[in-house]
Amino acid sequence: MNRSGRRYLQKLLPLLLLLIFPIVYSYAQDSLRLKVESRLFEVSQEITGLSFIFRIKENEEDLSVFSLKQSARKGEWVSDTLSDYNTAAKLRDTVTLTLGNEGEISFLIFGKEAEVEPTYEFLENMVRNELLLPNDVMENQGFEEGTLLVLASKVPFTPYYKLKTKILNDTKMLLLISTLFLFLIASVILVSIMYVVKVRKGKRDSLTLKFKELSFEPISNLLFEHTLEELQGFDRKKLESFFPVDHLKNKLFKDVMIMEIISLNKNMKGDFKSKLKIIYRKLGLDIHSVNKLSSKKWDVITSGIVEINEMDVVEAVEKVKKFAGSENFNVRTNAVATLLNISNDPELKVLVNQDYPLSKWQQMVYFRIIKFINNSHEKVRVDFLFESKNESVRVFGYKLVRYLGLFELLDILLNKYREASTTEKLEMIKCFDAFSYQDALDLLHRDLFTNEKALFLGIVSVLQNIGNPISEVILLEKLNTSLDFESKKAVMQTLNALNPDELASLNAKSQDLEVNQIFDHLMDPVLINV
Amino acid sequence: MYNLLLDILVEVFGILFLVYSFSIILFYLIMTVLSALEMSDHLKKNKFADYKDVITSPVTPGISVIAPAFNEGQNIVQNAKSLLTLHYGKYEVIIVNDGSKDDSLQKMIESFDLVKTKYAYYKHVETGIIRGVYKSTNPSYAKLTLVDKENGGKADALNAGINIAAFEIIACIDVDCILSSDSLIRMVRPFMEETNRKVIAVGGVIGVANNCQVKDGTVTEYRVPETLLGRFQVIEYFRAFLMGRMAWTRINGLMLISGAFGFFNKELVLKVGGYFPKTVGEDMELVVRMRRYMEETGQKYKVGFVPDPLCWTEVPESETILSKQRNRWMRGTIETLQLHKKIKMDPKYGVLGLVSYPYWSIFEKAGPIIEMAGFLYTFYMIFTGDINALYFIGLFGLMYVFSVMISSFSILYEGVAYNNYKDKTDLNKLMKTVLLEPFLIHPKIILWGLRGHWHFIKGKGGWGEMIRTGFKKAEDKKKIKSPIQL
Amino acid sequence: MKNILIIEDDRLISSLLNFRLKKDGYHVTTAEDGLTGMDAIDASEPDLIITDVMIPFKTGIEIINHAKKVYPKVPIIVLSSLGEEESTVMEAFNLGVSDFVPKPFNPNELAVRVRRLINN
Repeated sequence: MNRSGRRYLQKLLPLLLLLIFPIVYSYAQDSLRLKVESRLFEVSQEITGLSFIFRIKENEEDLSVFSLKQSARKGEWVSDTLSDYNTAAKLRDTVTLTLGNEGEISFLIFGKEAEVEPTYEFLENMVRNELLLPNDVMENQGFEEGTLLVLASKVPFTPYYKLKTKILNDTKMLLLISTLFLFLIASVILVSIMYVVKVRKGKRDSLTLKFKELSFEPISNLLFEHTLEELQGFDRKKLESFFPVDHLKNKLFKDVMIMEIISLNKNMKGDFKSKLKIIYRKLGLDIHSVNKLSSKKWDVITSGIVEINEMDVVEAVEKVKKFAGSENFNVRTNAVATLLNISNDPELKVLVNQDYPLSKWQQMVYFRIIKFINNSHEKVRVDFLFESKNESVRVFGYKLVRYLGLFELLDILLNKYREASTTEKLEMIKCFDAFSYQDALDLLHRDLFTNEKALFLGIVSVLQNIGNPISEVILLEKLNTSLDFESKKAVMQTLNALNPDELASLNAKSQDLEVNQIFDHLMDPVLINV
Repeated sequence: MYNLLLDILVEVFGILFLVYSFSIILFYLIMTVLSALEMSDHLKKNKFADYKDVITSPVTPGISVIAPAFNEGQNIVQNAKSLLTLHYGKYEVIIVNDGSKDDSLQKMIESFDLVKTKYAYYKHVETGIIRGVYKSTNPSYAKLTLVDKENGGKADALNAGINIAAFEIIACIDVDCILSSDSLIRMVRPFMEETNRKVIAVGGVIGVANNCQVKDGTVTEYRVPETLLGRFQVIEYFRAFLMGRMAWTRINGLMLISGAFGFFNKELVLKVGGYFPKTVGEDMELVVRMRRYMEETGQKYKVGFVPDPLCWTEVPESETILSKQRNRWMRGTIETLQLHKKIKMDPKYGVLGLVSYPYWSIFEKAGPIIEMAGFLYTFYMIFTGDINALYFIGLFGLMYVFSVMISSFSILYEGVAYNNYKDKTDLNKLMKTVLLEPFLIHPKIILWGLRGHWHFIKGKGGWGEMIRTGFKKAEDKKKIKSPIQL
Repeated sequence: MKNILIIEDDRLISSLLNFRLKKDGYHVTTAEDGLTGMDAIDASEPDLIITDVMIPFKTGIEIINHAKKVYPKVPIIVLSSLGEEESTVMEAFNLGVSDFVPKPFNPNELAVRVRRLINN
């Protein structure tokens, strides 16, 4: 990242530093005095109300040469009241130099002697009220003569002061500072949030693990030690007594229990499924699942729907219905799956009425359920899907014809074929292929003259299986037109299946390099096996 | 006169650097938030997915895994074997031997009972000369195809694989990558979830395998690398490849899918003409070109991203190799951006033109230059006494604190999402790396990036020169066929 | 006491089987993935193995191959959510597994099969 910046940032940065690495202002009186002195030096002018007296302790020498006089206190010499600090300082320096004995300058505010601190405040007041205009400390005083310590005690507040006025007058500056701080604070907040999230997640995970262990024993016990009738006879109290009672009200514990029960339910058969459902219901976990539907978070809603689905909570069907058109993919997918599974909808109305295009993922999920219902309960009316306004639903319907072996619907497909879109046709011809449906041949032959390559390739491929001598003739004709490589390969593959001898003689006569290559490919023993 | 000019210049540069710094901070802040949201959604989604269904369902699309190999003789057989045992129903593995000078081909033939076939296929994309297509006589290796070709570089090898790929999704991977056995199942999900926006490509995360325990082609225990350079890359992978790309995915602005682990819609790849073999940044270039195609034909689309840890690779821990890699990345970036200049700030290209492209131009491409200039500027200020030490330390400190924050965030981020690095001492080592990185490694990265610029200008790496000058001559255009003429 | 080794990545199922088979007086060892499964085969000298064919790190086929190599006589039951017509399952049968139980399954029924195989 960049390590430079705008010039006025120079002045801003000391402030920044102060705030990032706070310096505690704890000055000794000495340093305060130094501050007062430096400010007075800066001013180098008379200050109304402020005067000075130089005092020195001396018992032997006569100091009247320096125009000092003896004070009331014994052994102390004092100067006249001086209005200019420079004069006082000069006097002090001279005396000090001659005697090697250091005196002190006292401050008088309106003729009354004052301590360092009030003097400092008096001065600052004057400055703040602009009764006193200090020169720039950098220019007047310079850094060269002071030690670092002196500098450190001198520097901070003069620029600070200047900065403060500058900031107040400069909105741009304010903006800059606040942006910088916002950044820093924002990043600190983000990191802290992440940290909290991490800690909480860790706690949650370990609690989940603990709850899993706690719930596993009782569930297994109930499953293996008690018959279905016994379980049915238990009331809620009795059932609860198998579980750690103090946890049963805990939401997370309920969630973990449901997770365990669902997972067992998925993997088990017969009696066990019923037993699990009894446990689920009698412990009131179904209410917990249904309540999730009123959540605002999509993931909570989805898990509620999933639970309702897995545990066949049929009375919640109406509530799930309103999620079948949700714009959230996961909510919608699971709601539709649930309705297919438990709402007794063999006419697949919920699918027919879907507005969103069906993704492959959804088709995978719905297919599993429809297959299950079709095989174990009652015949599903896949043909209703053909009437949907949603093309992807119709296409899914055609797929189901193939997957579920519904050859009795082929006639309907044939009737719809003419009006169908290419996407639909592609799916339909796969069905014709799967059931070797000769009745479709005429239509397919006609569509061999399509401009759509995908459809052409699809039909040619189907003809491998159901083609007749007429197909052969058309394909041979096609091969003489200018076909692209892929189409050529498909046509030859089909011809090879229909009439290998014809293809061989065609290849022998052909000057087309591609034809020869494809022929070699088709004859390659390794590739035939693949 | 000169003084005044200099003053103005100094002032202007100062503002520029400040704006740059602020925008990079702002960008990172936004990124962390976006990626956190995206990750949260992703993890929630994962809870509801039954991935086992994907393997057996007839609805699942087929995948052609394409792995180019150049002088990989040592591991190629083992790697091909683990590719053949991935958990997936309908898939094939196409290994493209890109004119290896070692015994790769021989080893493959012997280990898998391969024989040369008379495979006839159409060259959708022009490639280097193919010496042979091999299939196995052993039915248990029916999924395997080996394409032997003359050396032509990675992109060319991938194109050769794409030409004979049979399935609708292609997975382009580095043959030396370690893939988790359910990687295909998880990567195919965004494709399967496509509803009204076409999913054109899906990228994945690549983890650092150095020092991790790997058993039979799977990472079983995560450890951080021994060297600082290696550990830096672990953090970089968290920050850029996990967090950064998640954020881009959130706004559908992902422009780069790693060449070591990327999945594409084959039909679309063929439509745009396959990989462009003349750039060193073929992975990024392909994604940009595909996106551009979708934008220009007015189709709704999406580039997906799966953050689950599914693929690992050994990252270079030697400075020389890493410097070359970064140099190449930089050249790839510059070349791609140059080739697709047209989309710059063009509202027609949506997020791609208005956000992704400018971001890559300013922060990724020009980043090293601006930072270096910033350094020089600062030194100039110190030298002329225009700046005090506090100033230097202050801004430096701010940036430093910020970068440490972002890196720490990324470590926490990984911890929340997957928590793969469990060892406490490892985490401490990572934190130490976070503290040292800005001083010890970042300057080198800048330097290597600058070298990439220099090499690009000098026209190193073959076609950089032509991309740079914008294919002025018709001759050049003829040499570089189709891909860029959209 | 007879040893039974269960290789199954779903911890719930393996604990459930563990619970059930212990009741019948077997000693049960469990492994959650292919790698630990392989080690467990070598270490535990099982009298019967129950394994899934889709587990992390190894294919079930590799496991069965290995087990058949080390203990050619030990019966193996494949427990899987794959259908019987799936190629992996066919392959498993070819390798000589003794039984195939599709998920969802009935643990009591599985226990009966285990008893029958061990007593033979």
